[in-house]
Amino acid sequence: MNDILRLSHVTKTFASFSLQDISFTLQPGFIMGLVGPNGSGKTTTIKLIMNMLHRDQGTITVAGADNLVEETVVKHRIGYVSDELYFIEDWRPAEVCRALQLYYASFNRDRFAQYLQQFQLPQNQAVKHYSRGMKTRLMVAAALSRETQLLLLDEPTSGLDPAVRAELLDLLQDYISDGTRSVLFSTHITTDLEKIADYIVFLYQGHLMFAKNKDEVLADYRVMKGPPDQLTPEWKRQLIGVRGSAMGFEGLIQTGALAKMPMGVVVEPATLDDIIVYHAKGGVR
Amino acid sequence: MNMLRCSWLIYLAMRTYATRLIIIVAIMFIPAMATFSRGGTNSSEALILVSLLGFIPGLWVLYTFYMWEKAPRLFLVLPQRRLDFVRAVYFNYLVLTVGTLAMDVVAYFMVQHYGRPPAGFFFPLALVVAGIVVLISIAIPLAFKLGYAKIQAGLLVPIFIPVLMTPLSRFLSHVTIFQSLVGHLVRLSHTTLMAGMVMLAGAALIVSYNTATRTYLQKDF
Repeated sequence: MNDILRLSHVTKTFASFSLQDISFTLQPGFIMGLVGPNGSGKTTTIKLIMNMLHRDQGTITVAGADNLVEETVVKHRIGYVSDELYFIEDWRPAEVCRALQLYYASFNRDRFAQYLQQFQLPQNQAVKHYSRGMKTRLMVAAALSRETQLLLLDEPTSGLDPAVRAELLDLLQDYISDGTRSVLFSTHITTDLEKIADYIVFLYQGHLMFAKNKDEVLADYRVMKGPPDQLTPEWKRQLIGVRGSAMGFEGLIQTGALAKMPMGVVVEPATLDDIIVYHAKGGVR
Repeated sequence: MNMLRCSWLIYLAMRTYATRLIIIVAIMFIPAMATFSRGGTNSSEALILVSLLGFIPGLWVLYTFYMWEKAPRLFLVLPQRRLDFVRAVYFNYLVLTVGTLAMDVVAYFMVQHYGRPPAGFFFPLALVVAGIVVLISIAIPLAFKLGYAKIQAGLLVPIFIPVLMTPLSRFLSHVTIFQSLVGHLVRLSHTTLMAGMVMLAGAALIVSYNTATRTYLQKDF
Protein backbone atom coordinates (compact mmCIF):
# COMPACT_ATOMS: atom_id res chain seq x y z
CA MET A 1 0.00 0.00 0.00
CA ASN A 2 2.92 2.38 -0.46
CA ASP A 3 1.78 3.57 -3.88
CA ILE A 4 2.42 7.23 -4.50
CA LEU A 5 -0.44 7.31 -6.98
CA ARG A 6 -3.32 4.89 -7.47
CA LEU A 7 -6.15 5.22 -9.96
CA SER A 8 -8.87 2.56 -9.70
CA HIS A 9 -11.57 2.24 -12.35
CA VAL A 10 -11.67 5.97 -12.98
CA THR A 11 -14.32 7.06 -15.46
CA LYS A 12 -15.20 10.49 -16.74
CA THR A 13 -17.77 11.16 -19.44
CA PHE A 14 -18.11 14.32 -21.50
CA ALA A 15 -20.56 14.98 -24.31
CA SER A 16 -18.17 13.81 -27.01
CA PHE A 17 -15.48 11.90 -25.14
CA SER A 18 -15.18 9.54 -22.25
CA LEU A 19 -12.31 8.22 -20.23
CA GLN A 20 -13.19 4.65 -19.39
CA ASP A 21 -12.18 2.50 -16.48
CA ILE A 22 -8.63 3.74 -16.03
CA SER A 23 -6.58 1.90 -13.43
CA PHE A 24 -2.85 2.07 -12.75
CA THR A 25 -0.45 2.57 -9.88
CA LEU A 26 2.83 4.39 -9.49
CA GLN A 27 5.37 3.32 -6.88
CA PRO A 28 7.82 5.67 -5.17
CA GLY A 29 11.13 6.19 -6.94
CA PHE A 30 9.82 5.81 -10.48
CA ILE A 31 8.99 7.97 -13.46
CA MET A 32 5.85 7.16 -15.40
CA GLY A 33 5.14 8.50 -18.88
CA LEU A 34 1.58 9.09 -20.01
CA VAL A 35 1.37 8.77 -23.78
CA GLY A 36 -1.25 8.70 -26.47
CA PRO A 37 -2.40 10.67 -29.49
CA ASN A 38 -4.16 14.03 -29.11
CA GLY A 39 -7.57 13.63 -27.47
CA SER A 40 -6.73 10.28 -25.92
CA GLY A 41 -7.33 11.46 -22.34
CA LYS A 42 -3.86 12.36 -21.00
CA THR A 43 -4.74 15.86 -19.82
CA THR A 44 -8.14 14.62 -18.58
CA THR A 45 -6.36 12.02 -16.43
CA ILE A 46 -4.02 14.63 -14.95
CA LYS A 47 -6.89 17.05 -14.34
CA LEU A 48 -8.85 14.30 -12.60
CA ILE A 49 -5.91 13.72 -10.27
CA MET A 50 -5.78 17.48 -9.57
CA ASN A 51 -9.58 17.55 -9.02
CA MET A 52 -9.97 20.10 -11.80
CA LEU A 53 -12.45 17.65 -13.29
CA HIS A 54 -14.94 15.61 -11.31
CA ARG A 55 -14.69 11.90 -11.87
CA ASP A 56 -17.91 9.99 -12.48
CA GLN A 57 -16.65 6.76 -10.98
CA GLY A 58 -13.57 5.23 -9.39
CA THR A 59 -11.04 6.40 -6.84
CA ILE A 60 -7.81 8.36 -6.98
CA THR A 61 -5.38 8.35 -4.08
CA VAL A 62 -2.06 10.11 -3.62
CA ALA A 63 0.14 8.47 -0.99
CA GLY A 64 -3.01 6.87 0.43
CA ALA A 65 -5.11 10.06 0.59
CA ASP A 66 -8.23 10.37 -1.54
CA ASN A 67 -7.99 13.40 -3.81
CA LEU A 68 -11.57 14.48 -3.10
CA VAL A 69 -11.90 13.66 0.59
CA GLU A 70 -8.46 15.03 1.49
CA GLU A 71 -8.06 17.52 -1.31
CA THR A 72 -5.85 19.95 0.61
CA VAL A 73 -3.50 17.19 1.83
CA VAL A 74 -3.24 15.76 -1.67
CA LYS A 75 -2.45 19.12 -3.23
CA HIS A 76 0.31 19.67 -0.70
CA ARG A 77 1.86 16.42 -1.89
CA ILE A 78 1.67 17.24 -5.60
CA GLY A 79 3.84 19.58 -7.63
CA TYR A 80 1.89 20.40 -10.76
CA VAL A 81 3.17 21.72 -14.07
CA SER A 82 0.38 22.49 -16.49
CA ASP A 83 0.48 22.83 -20.26
CA GLU A 84 -0.65 26.45 -19.73
CA LEU A 85 0.67 28.94 -17.21
CA TYR A 86 -1.59 29.05 -14.18
CA PHE A 87 0.01 32.00 -12.41
CA ILE A 88 -1.43 35.47 -12.83
CA GLU A 89 0.15 36.86 -15.97
CA ASP A 90 0.79 40.29 -14.44
CA TRP A 91 2.87 38.77 -11.68
CA ARG A 92 6.63 38.82 -11.55
CA PRO A 93 8.52 35.89 -10.02
CA ALA A 94 8.62 37.73 -6.66
CA GLU A 95 4.81 37.71 -6.54
CA VAL A 96 4.70 34.05 -7.52
CA CYS A 97 7.06 33.41 -4.62
CA ARG A 98 4.87 35.42 -2.22
CA ALA A 99 1.71 33.55 -3.24
CA LEU A 100 3.38 30.15 -2.85
CA GLN A 101 4.83 31.07 0.53
CA LEU A 102 1.32 31.90 1.62
CA TYR A 103 0.19 28.34 0.98
CA TYR A 104 3.22 26.10 1.44
CA ALA A 105 5.17 26.10 4.68
CA SER A 106 7.88 24.05 2.95
CA PHE A 107 8.31 26.52 0.11
CA ASN A 108 12.00 27.43 -0.06
CA ARG A 109 12.51 30.96 -1.30
CA ASP A 110 16.28 30.52 -1.81
CA ARG A 111 15.81 27.33 -3.78
CA PHE A 112 13.22 29.11 -5.94
CA ALA A 113 15.70 31.95 -6.59
CA GLN A 114 18.35 29.37 -7.53
CA TYR A 115 16.03 27.71 -10.02
CA LEU A 116 15.11 31.08 -11.52
CA GLN A 117 18.80 31.71 -12.06
CA GLN A 118 19.46 28.19 -13.35
CA PHE A 119 16.54 28.44 -15.79
CA GLN A 120 17.59 31.96 -16.82
CA LEU A 121 14.23 33.49 -15.95
CA PRO A 122 14.30 37.29 -15.69
CA GLN A 123 13.05 38.41 -12.29
CA ASN A 124 12.09 41.95 -13.25
CA GLN A 125 9.69 40.94 -16.00
CA ALA A 126 5.98 40.11 -15.73
CA VAL A 127 5.44 36.48 -16.59
CA LYS A 128 3.11 37.42 -19.45
CA HIS A 129 6.23 38.50 -21.34
CA TYR A 130 7.84 35.07 -20.91
CA SER A 131 8.03 32.65 -23.81
CA ARG A 132 6.14 29.35 -23.56
CA GLY A 133 9.30 27.52 -22.53
CA MET A 134 10.03 30.11 -19.85
CA LYS A 135 6.50 29.77 -18.45
CA THR A 136 6.97 26.00 -18.21
CA ARG A 137 10.33 26.51 -16.49
CA LEU A 138 8.73 28.91 -14.01
CA MET A 139 6.11 26.30 -13.07
CA VAL A 140 8.83 23.65 -12.77
CA ALA A 141 10.86 25.98 -10.52
CA ALA A 142 7.78 26.58 -8.35
CA ALA A 143 7.03 22.85 -8.11
CA LEU A 144 10.60 21.90 -7.24
CA SER A 145 11.03 24.59 -4.59
CA ARG A 146 8.93 22.84 -1.96
CA GLU A 147 8.49 19.39 -0.45
CA THR A 148 6.32 17.16 -2.61
CA GLN A 149 5.91 13.45 -3.19
CA LEU A 150 4.58 13.47 -6.71
CA LEU A 151 5.33 15.65 -9.70
CA LEU A 152 2.52 15.83 -12.23
CA LEU A 153 3.62 17.36 -15.50
CA ASP A 154 1.36 17.91 -18.48
CA GLU A 155 3.52 18.02 -21.60
CA PRO A 156 6.32 19.87 -19.88
CA THR A 157 8.94 19.38 -22.58
CA SER A 158 6.92 20.42 -25.63
CA GLY A 159 7.92 24.10 -25.58
CA LEU A 160 11.53 23.59 -24.58
CA ASP A 161 14.69 23.60 -26.69
CA PRO A 162 16.80 20.41 -26.60
CA ALA A 163 19.33 21.74 -24.07
CA VAL A 164 16.69 22.87 -21.57
CA ARG A 165 14.72 19.68 -22.17
CA ALA A 166 17.75 17.58 -21.29
CA GLU A 167 18.27 19.73 -18.19
CA LEU A 168 14.66 19.21 -17.12
CA LEU A 169 14.91 15.46 -17.61
CA ASP A 170 18.03 15.45 -15.40
CA LEU A 171 16.10 17.37 -12.75
CA LEU A 172 13.32 14.79 -12.85
CA GLN A 173 15.88 12.02 -12.42
CA ASP A 174 17.36 13.85 -9.44
CA TYR A 175 13.89 14.36 -8.00
CA ILE A 176 13.17 10.64 -7.76
CA SER A 177 16.71 9.60 -6.87
CA ASP A 178 16.06 9.24 -3.11
CA GLY A 179 13.40 6.61 -3.84
CA THR A 180 10.57 8.35 -1.98
CA ARG A 181 9.12 10.49 -4.76
CA SER A 182 7.67 9.86 -8.20
CA VAL A 183 6.92 11.65 -11.45
CA LEU A 184 3.99 11.27 -13.82
CA PHE A 185 4.31 13.20 -17.02
CA SER A 186 2.42 13.28 -20.26
CA THR A 187 4.27 13.87 -23.49
CA HIS A 188 4.28 13.42 -27.24
CA ILE A 189 8.06 13.28 -27.29
CA THR A 190 8.68 9.58 -26.85
CA THR A 191 12.46 9.97 -26.95
CA ASP A 192 12.12 11.70 -23.55
CA LEU A 193 10.31 8.64 -22.25
CA GLU A 194 12.91 6.30 -23.70
CA LYS A 195 15.53 8.29 -21.79
CA ILE A 196 13.97 8.50 -18.35
CA ALA A 197 10.63 6.70 -17.96
CA ASP A 198 10.39 3.50 -15.96
CA TYR A 199 6.71 2.90 -16.74
CA ILE A 200 4.52 3.75 -19.69
CA VAL A 201 0.78 4.33 -19.56
CA PHE A 202 -0.70 4.34 -23.04
CA LEU A 203 -4.14 5.86 -23.51
CA TYR A 204 -6.09 5.74 -26.72
CA GLN A 205 -9.55 7.23 -27.27
CA GLY A 206 -10.14 7.24 -23.54
CA HIS A 207 -9.17 3.60 -23.10
CA LEU A 208 -6.18 2.32 -21.21
CA MET A 209 -4.24 0.24 -23.75
CA PHE A 210 -1.53 -0.73 -21.26
CA ALA A 211 0.28 0.43 -18.15
CA LYS A 212 3.58 -1.42 -18.04
CA ASN A 213 7.25 -1.26 -17.33
CA LYS A 214 8.95 0.47 -20.28
CA ASP A 215 11.39 -2.39 -20.95
CA GLU A 216 8.49 -4.83 -20.89
CA VAL A 217 6.60 -2.67 -23.39
CA LEU A 218 9.59 -2.53 -25.73
CA ALA A 219 10.12 -6.29 -25.35
CA ASP A 220 6.43 -7.07 -25.92
CA TYR A 221 6.15 -5.59 -29.39
CA ARG A 222 7.92 -5.95 -32.73
CA VAL A 223 7.41 -4.33 -36.12
CA MET A 224 6.77 -6.97 -38.76
CA LYS A 225 7.35 -6.31 -42.45
CA GLY A 226 6.92 -8.64 -45.39
CA PRO A 227 5.78 -9.20 -48.97
CA PRO A 228 2.03 -8.86 -49.68
CA ASP A 229 1.50 -12.60 -50.30
CA GLN A 230 2.58 -13.39 -46.73
CA LEU A 231 -0.21 -11.30 -45.23
CA THR A 232 -2.66 -14.10 -44.54
CA PRO A 233 -5.99 -13.40 -42.78
CA GLU A 234 -4.54 -15.03 -39.66
CA TRP A 235 -1.57 -12.63 -39.59
CA LYS A 236 -3.84 -9.74 -40.44
CA ARG A 237 -5.85 -10.53 -37.32
CA GLN A 238 -2.78 -10.56 -35.15
CA LEU A 239 -1.12 -7.46 -36.53
CA ILE A 240 -1.92 -4.14 -34.88
CA GLY A 241 -2.40 -1.20 -37.26
CA VAL A 242 -1.40 -3.17 -40.35
CA ARG A 243 -0.49 -1.10 -43.39
CA GLY A 244 -0.57 -2.83 -46.76
CA SER A 245 0.53 -1.86 -50.28
CA ALA A 246 1.52 -3.54 -53.56
CA MET A 247 5.11 -3.57 -52.28
CA GLY A 248 4.39 -5.27 -48.98
CA PHE A 249 2.89 -4.88 -45.55
CA GLU A 250 3.99 -3.77 -42.12
CA GLY A 251 2.38 -3.77 -38.72
CA LEU A 252 2.96 -4.11 -35.01
CA ILE A 253 2.82 -7.54 -33.47
CA GLN A 254 3.11 -8.90 -29.96
CA THR A 255 6.35 -10.79 -29.48
CA GLY A 256 4.50 -13.87 -28.23
CA ALA A 257 2.74 -14.26 -31.58
CA LEU A 258 5.99 -14.62 -33.51
CA ALA A 259 6.55 -18.33 -32.81
CA LYS A 260 5.49 -19.41 -36.30
CA MET A 261 6.98 -16.63 -38.33
CA PRO A 262 6.49 -17.08 -42.07
CA MET A 263 9.40 -17.05 -44.51
CA GLY A 264 10.44 -13.75 -46.09
CA VAL A 265 9.14 -11.69 -43.21
CA VAL A 266 11.39 -9.23 -41.37
CA VAL A 267 10.91 -8.47 -37.70
CA GLU A 268 12.45 -5.36 -36.13
CA PRO A 269 12.43 -3.99 -32.58
CA ALA A 270 9.64 -1.49 -32.06
CA THR A 271 10.22 1.96 -30.66
CA LEU A 272 7.68 3.68 -28.40
CA ASP A 273 6.73 5.83 -31.38
CA ASP A 274 6.01 2.67 -33.42
CA ILE A 275 3.89 1.23 -30.62
CA ILE A 276 1.83 4.43 -30.32
CA VAL A 277 1.45 5.00 -34.05
CA TYR A 278 0.44 1.42 -34.87
CA HIS A 279 -1.95 1.22 -31.92
CA ALA A 280 -3.53 4.49 -32.99
CA LYS A 281 -3.91 3.10 -36.49
CA GLY A 282 -5.28 -0.20 -35.26
CA GLY A 283 -7.79 1.34 -32.87
CA VAL A 284 -9.16 -0.16 -29.67
CA ARG A 285 -9.34 -3.99 -29.78
CA MET B 1 -7.99 29.95 7.75
CA ASN B 2 -7.85 28.78 4.14
CA MET B 3 -10.67 31.19 3.30
CA LEU B 4 -8.64 34.14 4.63
CA ARG B 5 -5.57 32.91 2.75
CA CYS B 6 -7.59 32.62 -0.44
CA SER B 7 -9.08 36.04 0.18
CA TRP B 8 -5.56 37.46 0.42
CA LEU B 9 -4.56 35.57 -2.73
CA ILE B 10 -7.46 37.20 -4.60
CA TYR B 11 -6.10 40.55 -3.46
CA LEU B 12 -2.57 39.59 -4.63
CA ALA B 13 -4.00 38.44 -7.95
CA MET B 14 -5.85 41.71 -8.40
CA ARG B 15 -3.39 44.17 -6.94
CA THR B 16 -2.75 45.93 -10.25
CA TYR B 17 -6.47 46.20 -10.86
CA ALA B 18 -7.16 47.29 -7.28
CA THR B 19 -4.84 50.25 -7.79
CA ARG B 20 -6.75 51.24 -10.91
CA LEU B 21 -10.01 50.84 -9.01
CA ILE B 22 -8.85 53.14 -6.23
CA ILE B 23 -7.87 55.76 -8.84
CA ILE B 24 -11.31 55.50 -10.49
CA VAL B 25 -13.06 55.86 -7.13
CA ALA B 26 -10.87 58.83 -6.18
CA ILE B 27 -11.65 60.49 -9.52
CA MET B 28 -15.39 60.10 -8.81
CA PHE B 29 -15.29 60.78 -5.09
CA ILE B 30 -13.06 63.83 -4.75
CA PRO B 31 -14.96 66.16 -7.17
CA ALA B 32 -18.29 65.00 -5.72
CA MET B 33 -17.15 65.87 -2.21
CA ALA B 34 -15.72 69.18 -3.41
CA THR B 35 -19.05 70.10 -5.02
CA PHE B 36 -21.09 69.16 -1.99
CA SER B 37 -18.79 70.95 0.39
CA ARG B 38 -19.13 74.18 -1.63
CA GLY B 39 -22.88 74.36 -1.98
CA GLY B 40 -24.33 71.80 0.37
CA THR B 41 -26.50 69.04 -0.95
CA ASN B 42 -30.00 67.69 -1.03
CA SER B 43 -31.22 64.11 -0.86
CA SER B 44 -31.03 63.44 -4.62
CA GLU B 45 -27.45 64.69 -4.74
CA ALA B 46 -26.68 62.56 -1.74
CA LEU B 47 -28.17 59.64 -3.62
CA ILE B 48 -25.75 60.24 -6.49
CA LEU B 49 -22.87 60.31 -4.03
CA VAL B 50 -23.80 57.06 -2.34
CA SER B 51 -24.45 55.48 -5.72
CA LEU B 52 -20.92 56.37 -6.75
CA LEU B 53 -19.61 54.81 -3.58
CA GLY B 54 -21.85 51.82 -4.11
CA PHE B 55 -19.87 50.98 -7.23
CA ILE B 56 -16.83 49.96 -5.23
CA PRO B 57 -17.95 46.46 -4.28
CA GLY B 58 -19.66 46.07 -7.65
CA LEU B 59 -16.50 46.94 -9.53
CA TRP B 60 -14.45 44.79 -7.23
CA VAL B 61 -16.60 41.76 -7.90
CA LEU B 62 -16.42 42.51 -11.60
CA TYR B 63 -12.63 42.46 -11.39
CA THR B 64 -12.68 39.38 -9.18
CA PHE B 65 -14.36 37.48 -11.93
CA TYR B 66 -12.18 39.00 -14.56
CA MET B 67 -9.16 37.63 -12.71
CA TRP B 68 -10.90 34.40 -11.87
CA GLU B 69 -11.55 33.83 -15.55
CA LYS B 70 -7.88 34.47 -16.22
CA ALA B 71 -6.56 32.17 -13.54
CA PRO B 72 -9.12 29.59 -12.45
CA ARG B 73 -6.39 26.97 -12.44
CA LEU B 74 -4.28 28.83 -9.89
CA PHE B 75 -7.13 28.71 -7.39
CA LEU B 76 -7.59 25.00 -8.08
CA VAL B 77 -3.93 24.05 -8.08
CA LEU B 78 -3.21 25.51 -4.65
CA PRO B 79 -3.91 23.39 -1.57
CA GLN B 80 -7.38 24.54 -0.71
CA ARG B 81 -10.89 23.28 -1.21
CA ARG B 82 -13.12 24.78 -3.83
CA LEU B 83 -15.38 25.85 -1.01
CA ASP B 84 -12.57 28.05 0.32
CA PHE B 85 -12.53 30.00 -2.92
CA VAL B 86 -16.31 30.53 -2.91
CA ARG B 87 -16.16 31.65 0.72
CA ALA B 88 -13.24 33.96 -0.05
CA VAL B 89 -15.15 35.63 -2.90
CA TYR B 90 -18.15 36.30 -0.63
CA PHE B 91 -15.95 37.30 2.27
CA ASN B 92 -14.14 39.87 0.11
CA TYR B 93 -17.44 41.13 -1.16
CA LEU B 94 -18.85 41.54 2.37
CA VAL B 95 -15.70 43.29 3.56
CA LEU B 96 -15.92 45.70 0.65
CA THR B 97 -19.62 46.32 1.15
CA VAL B 98 -19.06 47.08 4.82
CA GLY B 99 -16.08 49.24 3.85
CA THR B 100 -18.25 51.11 1.36
CA LEU B 101 -20.91 51.71 3.99
CA ALA B 102 -18.24 53.04 6.31
CA MET B 103 -17.04 55.39 3.55
CA ASP B 104 -20.63 56.55 3.07
CA VAL B 105 -20.96 57.37 6.74
CA VAL B 106 -17.63 59.23 6.63
CA ALA B 107 -18.92 61.13 3.59
CA TYR B 108 -22.07 62.04 5.50
CA PHE B 109 -20.12 63.47 8.39
CA MET B 110 -17.79 65.32 6.03
CA VAL B 111 -20.76 66.96 4.36
CA GLN B 112 -22.28 67.68 7.75
CA HIS B 113 -19.02 69.29 8.80
CA TYR B 114 -19.64 71.99 6.20
CA GLY B 115 -22.94 72.83 7.87
CA ARG B 116 -25.41 71.54 5.27
CA PRO B 117 -26.13 67.88 6.06
CA PRO B 118 -28.13 66.20 3.31
CA ALA B 119 -31.72 65.42 4.13
CA GLY B 120 -32.63 61.74 4.11
CA PHE B 121 -29.08 60.60 3.40
CA PHE B 122 -29.28 57.17 5.03
CA PHE B 123 -32.46 56.11 3.31
CA PRO B 124 -31.13 56.38 -0.26
CA LEU B 125 -27.88 54.86 1.01
CA ALA B 126 -29.72 51.75 2.23
CA LEU B 127 -31.78 51.67 -0.98
CA VAL B 128 -28.74 51.81 -3.29
CA VAL B 129 -26.54 49.46 -1.31
CA ALA B 130 -29.36 46.92 -0.91
CA GLY B 131 -30.07 47.15 -4.65
CA ILE B 132 -26.44 46.58 -5.55
CA VAL B 133 -26.10 43.71 -3.08
CA VAL B 134 -29.16 42.01 -4.62
CA LEU B 135 -27.78 42.49 -8.16
CA ILE B 136 -24.34 41.21 -7.24
CA SER B 137 -25.94 38.29 -5.39
CA ILE B 138 -27.55 37.29 -8.66
CA ALA B 139 -24.37 37.94 -10.66
CA ILE B 140 -21.93 35.86 -8.56
CA PRO B 141 -23.56 32.43 -9.00
CA LEU B 142 -24.14 33.26 -12.67
CA ALA B 143 -20.46 34.07 -13.05
CA PHE B 144 -19.53 30.77 -11.40
CA LYS B 145 -21.87 28.96 -13.75
CA LEU B 146 -21.31 30.77 -17.03
CA GLY B 147 -17.95 32.48 -16.63
CA TYR B 148 -17.11 36.14 -16.60
CA ALA B 149 -17.23 36.64 -20.37
CA LYS B 150 -20.91 35.73 -20.61
CA ILE B 151 -22.10 37.92 -17.77
CA GLN B 152 -19.87 40.97 -18.06
CA ALA B 153 -22.57 42.97 -19.81
CA GLY B 154 -24.94 42.16 -16.95
CA LEU B 155 -22.36 43.24 -14.41
CA LEU B 156 -22.40 46.71 -15.92
CA VAL B 157 -25.99 47.13 -14.72
CA PRO B 158 -25.01 48.42 -11.24
CA ILE B 159 -22.92 51.12 -12.92
CA PHE B 160 -25.96 52.35 -14.81
CA ILE B 161 -28.30 52.31 -11.82
CA PRO B 162 -28.04 56.07 -11.14
CA VAL B 163 -28.42 56.76 -14.86
CA LEU B 164 -31.43 54.49 -15.13
CA MET B 165 -33.01 55.60 -11.90
CA THR B 166 -34.53 58.88 -13.16
CA PRO B 167 -36.23 57.52 -16.32
CA LEU B 168 -37.22 54.39 -14.42
CA SER B 169 -38.87 56.37 -11.63
CA ARG B 170 -40.71 58.49 -14.23
CA PHE B 171 -41.91 55.36 -15.96
CA LEU B 172 -42.91 53.62 -12.76
CA SER B 173 -44.80 56.68 -11.49
CA HIS B 174 -47.35 56.00 -14.27
CA VAL B 175 -47.75 52.34 -13.38
CA THR B 176 -50.76 51.80 -11.14
CA ILE B 177 -49.44 48.81 -9.23
CA PHE B 178 -46.20 50.63 -8.53
CA GLN B 179 -48.11 53.73 -7.40
CA SER B 180 -50.15 51.56 -5.07
CA LEU B 181 -46.98 49.84 -3.80
CA VAL B 182 -45.26 53.18 -3.22
CA GLY B 183 -48.44 54.41 -1.52
CA HIS B 184 -48.16 51.55 0.96
CA LEU B 185 -44.43 51.89 1.37
CA VAL B 186 -44.46 55.61 2.12
CA ARG B 187 -46.72 54.94 5.04
CA LEU B 188 -43.96 52.82 6.57
CA SER B 189 -41.24 54.54 8.52
CA HIS B 190 -37.81 54.86 6.92
CA THR B 191 -36.38 52.72 9.67
CA THR B 192 -38.80 49.88 8.86
CA LEU B 193 -38.05 50.18 5.16
CA MET B 194 -34.32 50.19 5.75
CA ALA B 195 -34.60 47.12 7.97
CA GLY B 196 -36.61 45.44 5.21
CA MET B 197 -33.96 46.30 2.63
CA VAL B 198 -31.17 45.01 4.82
CA MET B 199 -33.10 41.78 5.33
CA LEU B 200 -33.75 41.48 1.60
CA ALA B 201 -30.06 42.00 0.83
CA GLY B 202 -29.05 39.49 3.51
CA ALA B 203 -31.50 36.88 2.19
CA ALA B 204 -30.26 37.45 -1.37
CA LEU B 205 -26.67 36.93 -0.23
CA ILE B 206 -27.50 33.69 1.59
CA VAL B 207 -29.37 32.24 -1.40
CA SER B 208 -26.58 33.45 -3.69
CA TYR B 209 -23.85 31.83 -1.56
CA ASN B 210 -25.66 28.49 -1.47
CA THR B 211 -26.27 28.53 -5.21
CA ALA B 212 -22.68 29.56 -5.99
CA THR B 213 -21.30 26.82 -3.74
CA ARG B 214 -23.41 24.13 -5.41
CA THR B 215 -22.47 25.42 -8.87
CA TYR B 216 -18.75 25.79 -8.28
CA LEU B 217 -18.28 22.48 -6.49
CA GLN B 218 -19.58 20.64 -9.55
CA LYS B 219 -17.77 22.65 -12.19
CA ASP B 220 -15.16 21.10 -14.48
CA PHE B 221 -12.10 23.03 -15.60
